[in-house]
Amino acid sequence: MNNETRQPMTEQRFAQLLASYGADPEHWPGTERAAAQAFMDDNVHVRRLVNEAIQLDRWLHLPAWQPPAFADLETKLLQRALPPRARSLIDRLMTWLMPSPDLPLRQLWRPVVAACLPLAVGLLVGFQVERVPETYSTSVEEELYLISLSDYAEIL
Amino acid sequence: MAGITAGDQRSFAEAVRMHARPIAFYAYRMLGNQSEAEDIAQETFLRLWTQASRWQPGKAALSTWLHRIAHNLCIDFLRKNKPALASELSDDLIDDQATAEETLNSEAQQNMLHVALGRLPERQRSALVLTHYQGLSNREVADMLAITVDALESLLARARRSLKTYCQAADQRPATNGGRHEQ
Repeated sequence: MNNETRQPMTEQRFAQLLASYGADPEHWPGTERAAAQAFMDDNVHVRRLVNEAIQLDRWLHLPAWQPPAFADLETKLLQRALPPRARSLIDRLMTWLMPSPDLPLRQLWRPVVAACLPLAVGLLVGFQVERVPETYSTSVEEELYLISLSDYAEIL
Repeated sequence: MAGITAGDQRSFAEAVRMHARPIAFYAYRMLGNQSEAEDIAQETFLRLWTQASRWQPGKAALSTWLHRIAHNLCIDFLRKNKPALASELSDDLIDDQATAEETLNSEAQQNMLHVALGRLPERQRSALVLTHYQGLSNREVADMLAITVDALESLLARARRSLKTYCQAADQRPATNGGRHEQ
């Protein structure tokens, strides 16, 4: 059973919430928080369970549980040289197409690329189409040969 | 994050400033050692730099993704460095009463709390730290541990029950021990 489907709040479910998340409503699942708080307000007899959970919550917040200060942690992490990243061709292409948000005029970048794309495709197709007749064009020698053939045919 | 993916070091520095400390805190609570926690944080951000393109914004928040990396690194560390621990980590094998009795032999009441956390099976410890201290939602933690929310709640309840036993013992009888989690 999922949290999102649990309705309405029962004493059993309330006890389960306390056992799992403690007495601080901030730690309860958001989908059940309001129902659980209302249940706690309406049912004084569950106070004993709540007080037991509060006791463990207090232990969990004793100074002994708190981590050390980790002085200069960020500096230490940033001082370490970052390794170069092996980036794929697709990664590089995507980075070029969609640059960092810090780049000025980034808002204009995509419309410009979008506008240029049909132009680029048109140019590419245009070059290909132009090359097709060249492939089949005849040389001067071939033309003279064909003319001579036609002359020979007339004689016959 | 797009900046990090594009190799922008300023974006990376911003991410370090925002997330390094919570990640180090998480690692510390998992391992009980400051130097090792710093190493885990270091490695986590190294992976952020080298594997930024793997992050899927629709699937998890950056903070959750970083916690997931740190979590996996912590588990790897625990398993590599404490091979005997692996056999102890089955949740069902933990005998609360017995471990509480062992814990009573420690010297300082405060350090006993470290011992108590360190004695929790790694999944219980992760679940408790991630939900109680790191502020992740139950859904995020369940996804991270690859379990259902119900299973997460069961883990959390067992973790809290174990801690209660330890802490009650600590309240009754002050004791001392080293600061590092006992494994």
